Order: sequence, then structure tokens, then C-alpha cells
Amino acid sequence: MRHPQEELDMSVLLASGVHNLKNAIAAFVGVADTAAIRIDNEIEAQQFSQAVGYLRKSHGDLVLLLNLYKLGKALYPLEIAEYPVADVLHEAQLYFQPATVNGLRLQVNCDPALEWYLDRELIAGAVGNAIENALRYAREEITVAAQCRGGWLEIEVRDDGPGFPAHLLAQAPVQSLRPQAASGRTGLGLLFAAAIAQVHRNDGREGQVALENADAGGGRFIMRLP
Amino acid sequence: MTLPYNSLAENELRRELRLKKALVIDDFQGMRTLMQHILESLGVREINTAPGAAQALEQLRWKNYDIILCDYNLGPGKNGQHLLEEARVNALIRPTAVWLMVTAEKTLDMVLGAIEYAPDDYLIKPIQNGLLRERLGKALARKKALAPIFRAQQTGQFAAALALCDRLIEKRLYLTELYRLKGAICLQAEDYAAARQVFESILAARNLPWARTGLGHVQALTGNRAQAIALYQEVIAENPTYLEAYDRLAETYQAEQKMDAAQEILLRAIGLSPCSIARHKALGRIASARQDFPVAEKAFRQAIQLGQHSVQNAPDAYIGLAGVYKASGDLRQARETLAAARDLFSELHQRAELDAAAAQLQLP
Repeated sequence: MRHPQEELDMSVLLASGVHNLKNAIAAFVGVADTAAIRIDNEIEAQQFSQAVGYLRKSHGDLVLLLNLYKLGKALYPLEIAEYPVADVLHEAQLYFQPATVNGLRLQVNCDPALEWYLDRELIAGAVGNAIENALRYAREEITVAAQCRGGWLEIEVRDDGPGFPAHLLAQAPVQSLRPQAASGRTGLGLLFAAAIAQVHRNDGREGQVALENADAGGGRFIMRLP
Repeated sequence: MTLPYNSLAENELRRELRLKKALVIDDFQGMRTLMQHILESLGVREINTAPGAAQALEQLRWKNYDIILCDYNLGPGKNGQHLLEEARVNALIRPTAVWLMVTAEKTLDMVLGAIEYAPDDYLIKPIQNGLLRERLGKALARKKALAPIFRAQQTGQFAAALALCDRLIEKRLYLTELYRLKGAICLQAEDYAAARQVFESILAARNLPWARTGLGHVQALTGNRAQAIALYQEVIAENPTYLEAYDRLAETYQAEQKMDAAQEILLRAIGLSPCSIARHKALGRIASARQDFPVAEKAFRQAIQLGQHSVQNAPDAYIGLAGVYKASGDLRQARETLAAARDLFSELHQRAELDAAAAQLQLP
């Protein structure tokens, strides 16, 4: 006898659950900002907006997750067009309005005239995720930089924290990465980023994601797009 | 936390927004208030709201809005895309007006429409002030720059439109979009050599699906259908979600009398994106030609159902469906279908189309 579960495609069920959850969070976050203004107590207001910040981050994660699912099922309306890279980096920050910026500096180095072929939504989401991650580990400063190098666009998110743990660095190329929930850094965001980079193709080349620890300390997330 | 190069644009934008008229369309009161607040915080002074499509159309008729912030999902009836099409077809908005579609997520169905009915941008919920300002500023600037081209294109002044494109290309602004526009205008003007040149110059730099599909279209129109088919197939293999290639491929298969292949490719496209009226009609015609009546009937029925809310609703899906019934021997249903269409379509040319169809199908 077959179990009823076998008749169902779990991934479709999970995706629709994630979809509903994502929309519910969006609806809440949408009104929470205006609601926050009405809280008189300063500490409560701060706690509230921090909680909203976490939800906003979760929403971003769920959007990435769904996009990844849709990419896999050929349902994502991929729109690769030429965009100013500085705009995309700017939007990356807006997507993940981080809950805790506390005293951290965020530097952006990008030529405003630099343009590249990419899907704006996907890349902004992936870079935003990398920025979010860097914010959690940085001591003082995060640098986001983009430049054209040897026919590739190279986007880098660098922090001055303790750097990436060995198990993440060891798993090169990132495409073969498996999420590890046990360690602090699950690598889920990285998995998204790698999949998103991969759908950017040109001339037989595919986008890539790499992780490095800088000689001077701190982690470097690098996305290269052909 | 903001990029330095944006600060100047921000002041300019604020000044510009003070003079703009905005319409917010959303079926939820809370969302309307929120969007109104955001627009106010950006400096817009004149803001109206509408809770649904009918009210929005009324307001669009009475006032020339510069900014329309519209939720895609407006409850039962017309959605945001239907509304946008109706506003464009009936010239309820000026070519410089900016239409931003607000949506929970981007789906294939949203981007399926013809480019001329596409919104200026999509905003994914939850809307953030910063992102809205950014996108609004860009869309207003882009519309201001491109409106003269659209105007020339719509009035059939293709040479003028192309000259305007070139002038902006010289300034190295909106490059991808301008080349794409140029290709489309050349095709409209039936200047296939020029169109080919545009697409090939793009493809020399980068393999983009729209340029490859455009080149395929040029090949098909100049009699090289085998090459067109090969190009479309490559596009689909590399970009399975680029739906225009499916529609063009089906069209070319049909011209080659390869009806089985045409039907198969349209069914695949409908599987990916089931909301295109034109695609269902195309499938209905091809399935009818193959005498695959169940598929044809379903396709025309879908087209009729989807057409309900569309400003471009036309009698042809009804005529197609009546034809299917006639061919499968169900004269009563065929007659009823045409009668239903007569009740719906009262304009002179539509009546003439229905009368001609009735005569052809020998259905008095």
C-alpha cells in the first residue's frame, strides 16, 4: 500500500507554505512601521522595531528561498539586463534594512558609471544577504565594492570580523555546499547566492561565489558575474 | 548608510515630486493609507486613492495623474494589469505618467504582456520608503527621457522615433532598453535589414534572449524559417522562461505547417504561464486545424474566461469556439456561442465580424 504522502510533491507544499508565510510577514511589516510611531515608551519602541527588523530579514530570506525554488522549476521570470551596479548595491542595503547597525560603518566603493548585465532583484537580494551576514560579524566596518575585472563583474562584501569558519572555506566550489545547521553560519544564504550567480551566464561562463579570509583578517564574500 | 551619489538626486526629486499628482490603487484601506503616507513623506502633495478598478478608472478619466501606485491584486474582477492596459488603450494616462505595480512577488504571468502594456517598474511588498523613492525617481526620469520616442512610435513616425533613440544612445543612457526599442521599431517599420543590424550588434556583445528572438523574428519574416526555428529553440533551451520565444516558435511552426510541433510548444508555454489570452487563442486555432477539438474547445474557453476583464476582449475567441462546435457537429452549442457573443459585443465592426463568421459557418 502506498502512503498518501507519496502522491504529494512535498516541495510544492513547502513552497506554498513559505509563500503564505512570506505574504503574512509582508502584510505585518507593512503596517508595523506606521504602528511603531505610536509607541510612546522609547525602550519598547526600540524593541518593537528590532523585532520588525528580524521579520524583515526573514521576509528577505523567504523571498530568496522562493526565488531559488522558482529558478529550479523554471518558473522565475529571469530578467537579465544592463543596470548601474551602484544602484543594485544601494538597493541591496534597502532590502535588508538591518536591525542592528549599531555603530558599524558601511562603505560602498563603486563607480556610478559601471553597468553590468544582471537580474536586479536576484543580485540585490543575494548581496543584501551577504551584507546582512557581514553586519553580524563585523567589528567596525563593512566594505561593499564592485569593479570590472578581466571580463567579469566582481562584487565584494568585506568585514573586519573573525572571518569565515574553516568548514565554509573548505567547501569550494560553493555550488556543492550543503547547509550545516549545527554551526553558527549555516551557509544557506551562500547557497542562495551561488545558485543566483549560476543563472547569470555569458559566452559559456557561469557566475560564481567564493569565500575568502583576508590576510589582514575578516571575511570576504565575492560574487563574480560574467 | 546611503550612497553619496544619491544625495543630489534626492533633493531634485523632492522638488519635482511636489508638483506631481498621484493615484494610489489598493483594495485594502491599510495599504492605501500606508502608500499615501510614504508618498507624502517623499514630498508629493496631491494624492488620491481608489479601492478598486472601477473607481480607479473613474478617477483616471477625470484627472491627469503623473504617478500611479497600483496593487496587482485588486480582489475579484480586474487586476492591476487589466487596469493598466485599459488606461493605456483608452489613453487615460499620458505617455509621461509613471505606473508602478505593487505585488507580493514577481511571477511569469506578470511579465507576459506586450512591452507597451508593461508597468514602469514592479515593487515587491513590503514597500520600503527608500526603495520606493529610488524606483520612483528613476522611473520618472526614464519616462521623461523616453516619452517622445513612445509618442513618435505610437503615431507611426518610425524614422523620427529611431532618430530620437540614437540621440539618447549617444548620451549612453538606457542603452539596453533603447536598442531593444530600436529593434522593435525597425520591425514595426518593416525595415528588416535595419532590425537585423540592431539585433546582431547586441548579440556580438552578449547573448541576450530578446535579441536572439528578435533575430529569429527577422529570419522568419524574410523567409528563412528553418534558421528562425533553430534560433528560437536555442533561446528556449538556454532561457526556459523566455516566453516570447515559445510564441514565435509556434507561429513559425504553423507557417511551416508543422501543426503538431506548434501545439506542443504552446502547451508548454501555457504550462509555464496560463494567463495569456493571445496564447490560448493561438492554441485554439492550431488545435482546430489539427481537428483536436477537446484541446481547441478548452483553449477558446480559457481565452473567453480570461478576456472578461480585459479591455482588449474581442469576438474572435467566441468565433473560434463556435467553429469548434460546428466542426464537431454540435450546431446548437455553436449557435448559442455566437448568440452569446452578439449580446456582449455591440460595436459595429464587432457585429460585422460576428455576422461574417455566422455566414461562413453557415449558422444563421
